[in-house]
Amino acid sequence: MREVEIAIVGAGPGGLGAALEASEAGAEAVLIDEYPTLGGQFYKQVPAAFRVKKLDAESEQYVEGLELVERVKRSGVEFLPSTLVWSVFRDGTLGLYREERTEELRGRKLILAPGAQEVPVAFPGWTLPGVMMGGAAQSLLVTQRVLPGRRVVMAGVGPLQLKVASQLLEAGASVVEILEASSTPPVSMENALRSLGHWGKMREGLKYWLKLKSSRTPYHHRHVPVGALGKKQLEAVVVAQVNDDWQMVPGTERTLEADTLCLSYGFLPSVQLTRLLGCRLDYDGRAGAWMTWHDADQQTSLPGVYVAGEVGGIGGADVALEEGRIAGIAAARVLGKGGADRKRRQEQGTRKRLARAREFADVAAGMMQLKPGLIDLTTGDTIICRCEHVTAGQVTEAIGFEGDSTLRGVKIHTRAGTGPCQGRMCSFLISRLIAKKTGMPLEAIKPDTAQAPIKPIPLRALVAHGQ
Amino acid sequence: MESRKDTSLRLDGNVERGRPVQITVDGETIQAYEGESLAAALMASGRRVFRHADPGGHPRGVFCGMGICYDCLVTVAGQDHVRACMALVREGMQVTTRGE
Repeated sequence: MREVEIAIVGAGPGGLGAALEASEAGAEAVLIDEYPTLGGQFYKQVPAAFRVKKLDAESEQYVEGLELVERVKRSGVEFLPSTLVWSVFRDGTLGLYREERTEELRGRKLILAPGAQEVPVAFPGWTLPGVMMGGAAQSLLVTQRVLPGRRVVMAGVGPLQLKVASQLLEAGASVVEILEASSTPPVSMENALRSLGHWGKMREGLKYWLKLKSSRTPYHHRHVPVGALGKKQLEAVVVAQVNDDWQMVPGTERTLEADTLCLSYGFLPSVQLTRLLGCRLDYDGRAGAWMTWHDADQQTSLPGVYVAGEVGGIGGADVALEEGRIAGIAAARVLGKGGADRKRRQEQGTRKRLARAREFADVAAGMMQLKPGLIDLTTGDTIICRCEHVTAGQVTEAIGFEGDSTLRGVKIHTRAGTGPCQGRMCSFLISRLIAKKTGMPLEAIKPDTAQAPIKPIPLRALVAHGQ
Repeated sequence: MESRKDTSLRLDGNVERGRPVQITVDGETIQAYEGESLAAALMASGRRVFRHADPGGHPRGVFCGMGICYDCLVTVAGQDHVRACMALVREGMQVTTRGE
């Protein structure tokens, strides 16, 4: 089996930052990502076969990431593209799947930067084609340069959807309405006061806001989609007003004709690998999710395993980048690399920038806090597990069966969470249905045990791996 | 039949795509470009329903767009359960959706 000094999983801001510092310290590092290009979901690099002729509203994140990506390419860090990490062991061995076969790679130190997924929010009709995550729409638009739809309703919480809406408008789509679930819109006096000092972020938010204002796009806070209608694909969205807890105000429903509905309700850390390793996870009440505990050097409860970015708590790309740098410096130092005075000074700069980025992440987290009424948008026959077609009614019935109110219990009795997405879409929702039925606090509902492969790989590859 | 307006959903003002490739989708030849994901090529051809999920035959298409929800599954060259959002188009690719 091949062994390297540092194996880095995930080539988004966290992984790129780690790769840069590890290589600068003179450590041998390998960077692994499931995508063919460096950059991840934030920096959204266009495919290698595309050529950007002119920079535009869609290329902002691309440009931001391009310099970093180019530096990593020049750094000599080896990149394994289109490579799925399907397992991880405590000795630092990673199970990889690439070019239709499995192989193993051991990192003497591991830096895990798998990023996040978007929060799944279920309501009647949410499985209809045309209903998609905001990130899916943004990737189609920014990376692939394909309009995700012509008449788009945006929904969610926080400032991100303002950016996506503004990019969609720029690209020629019609944005029917923007629905902000929170009682306090991101662009409000209250949030402006909270963001004081973070001028760059404020300016960015204001820019999108003005773009939307000048296009006269209707914007409603305290509003959410409560239903998606259509025979074969989305034709209309039912929207309604909600109270401060995001419970629907009866009688406020309206129907909007649309072919696309984008959901941007924030992010959940991708903790599959750290969970599989048995790293300590803590519940973050504000984010409503489990995140990987780490120390000031980004090391997890398992010595030699570091994390960077969203896997350790939702903080955004700026936080991820600096955390990646710190993880890279720390892991290299433990291997006896780097450590010169110059490096120390660089590290101080990184820590300063990290502190500042975390300050804004805290403000953003406040804007994006989820409220309990979200789960009340489901009706008995709303699909909760998209893979195995388990409804909210079936899940609720299974909760407490034979005294078992765990995610595992629901899984055994209903098959919810046993499909190919392995609970990535439903476990967040099931936790909330459990809390609703039993009154248990969310932090008392433990995530289900992780299992390898964390994403399906062909059985023949697994069999070949075992031989 | 759903209307299928070819290429008009592609935004070509500021990028130059890879070289043109032809892929076959449910027996029909469609134009795609090197570098595109299969999901993007299907969407650009006006296809939004990639399969009907059992039981109940619920239509599905692109949802997470980043390879984690396994909703956009199609068959490529006889291989089932291929995530259209993660697969890249290749010249002569044979794709079967269950979109009809």
